Amino acid sequence: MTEQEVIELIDSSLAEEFELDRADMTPDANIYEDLGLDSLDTVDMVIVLEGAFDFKIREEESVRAIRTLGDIHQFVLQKVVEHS
Amino acid sequence: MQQDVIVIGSGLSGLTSALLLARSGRKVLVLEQHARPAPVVNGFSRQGLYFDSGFHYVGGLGKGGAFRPLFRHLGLDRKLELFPFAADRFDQLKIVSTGETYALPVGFAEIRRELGALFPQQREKIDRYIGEIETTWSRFPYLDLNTDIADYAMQTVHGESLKERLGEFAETPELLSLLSMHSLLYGLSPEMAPFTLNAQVAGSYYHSAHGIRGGGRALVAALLELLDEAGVEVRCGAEVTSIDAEAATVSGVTLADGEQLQATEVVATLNPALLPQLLQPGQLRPAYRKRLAGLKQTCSAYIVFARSAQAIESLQKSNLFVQPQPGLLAANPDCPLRERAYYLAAAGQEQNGGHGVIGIIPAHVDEVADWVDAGPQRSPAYRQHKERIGAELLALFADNNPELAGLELLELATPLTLHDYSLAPQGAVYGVGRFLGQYNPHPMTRLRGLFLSGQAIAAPGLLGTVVSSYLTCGSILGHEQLRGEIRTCH
Repeated sequence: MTEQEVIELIDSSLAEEFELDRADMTPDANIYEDLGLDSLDTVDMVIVLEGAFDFKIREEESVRAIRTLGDIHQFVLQKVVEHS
Repeated sequence: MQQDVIVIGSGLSGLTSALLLARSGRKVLVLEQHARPAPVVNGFSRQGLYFDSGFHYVGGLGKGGAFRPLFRHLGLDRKLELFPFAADRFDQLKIVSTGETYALPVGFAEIRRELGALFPQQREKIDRYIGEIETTWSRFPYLDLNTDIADYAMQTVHGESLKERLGEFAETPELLSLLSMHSLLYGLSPEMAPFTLNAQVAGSYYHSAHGIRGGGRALVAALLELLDEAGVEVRCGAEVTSIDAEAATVSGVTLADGEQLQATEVVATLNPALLPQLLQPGQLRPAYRKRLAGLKQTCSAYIVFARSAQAIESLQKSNLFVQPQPGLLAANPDCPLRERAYYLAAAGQEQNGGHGVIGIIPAHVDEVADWVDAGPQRSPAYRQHKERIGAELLALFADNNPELAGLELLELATPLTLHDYSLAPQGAVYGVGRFLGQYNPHPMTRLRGLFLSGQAIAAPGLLGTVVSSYLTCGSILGHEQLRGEIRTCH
């Protein structure tokens, strides 16, 4: 998977599962303030990403530090590298 | 009359949640689909014998027990009489292949001593393992008022499995059996069970094991009395068909007969996998809806309710776990009946004079798949299936335990019976399981004013469901308020 494909899979999965507007989904969009997620959605976000990429996410500290869509991209790209 | 809160379901978590919310000053209405409250826990009578169908024994209520302050806070200590299980053998394990029966005594020191004597070469590891259970079990949220609730929940997702933890401490198959046998009480295999869940369930019984005089029926009656004192109405025969919302906030529920009831908060205690069916598609995000619908359920069971001509001495104030072969004990229905581990208890310890026997053996809903859609009026073929399974199970019990020769079958519950009473998908005996790696739902939902409670939120059993009610009501009222009240009950 190329970096661009990974980012596209992240964005399309989150758009579908959280009913987000793709036009709002820029890398610097704050997932809480701009995309309307809240702390309760974090677990669902983890499950959606686990399902899309077929890995387990156990890095609770890193997940808690996520603020922007770009943070999610970087987090997943790092995981994909670790798993390849 | 207008109510502030509607509680859906009158099981233990529904009744407990209603009580906590009513005492905070809210007007609470409990809705139950069945004709009588708490149909699973209430038990039933056949031919003069009372049988418990949901409640069998409770841990952690002995002197210094971490469950006691909650019991006192609810007022159950005033309404119920407890009796201790046998100090030298509250639970027994019989291994069929070797013919050996082992007894667990009450108390962590006593268990260390007993297991150390049985397995002297593993004494030091046994000491450390039982020590871990002793410190872990009472860290369960609300048993320990300082536990970080969110962190604890994560341990059951990402922590070690019971199998992994035991691998460091126990080698002998018989010791593995004894240390994993309580998995039958939460319905997960040791590979899939979080160590912390096993510690909470097994540890509460290691601490102390009690019966309730009058059984589950007395427990439900006590909760109903407390609810009556608190001004809560419990309406039976009230099937909720939808949870209603306006502007992303709960507004009430609609019943099967079309009646609409308004409330600003709704606590749903049904199996959370069923929740999406009660909501309009747009009310929950797809990610959350799929997560709820996809939650994994525990296995189902056959439950034998039988009469014995003579009193069964070995089950007096004691339970018997039976395992075909030594090794990790799992609640596993994926093998022939005779290869499954099972659980035996006296029915109505104090009332029936030792003549009532309950046997619970894991089962899969597929075993009764032919009759799933038949509705309550099931066919003669289903009755024949029940008779055949009942006869097989009585023969199995008798072969394994000479004392149980000559039992008379009075009733058999199948996965379909469990589904009829609990509404759990696949007749799941403990509902949604706390499988390792699975994110069980939080009491707060994506819909403002809608909360979840029940065994999926915390753990099964009286202890687990009561704690789930505190977690839910703490999410509504503020955990610090509830914790403050409990501190005065220590």
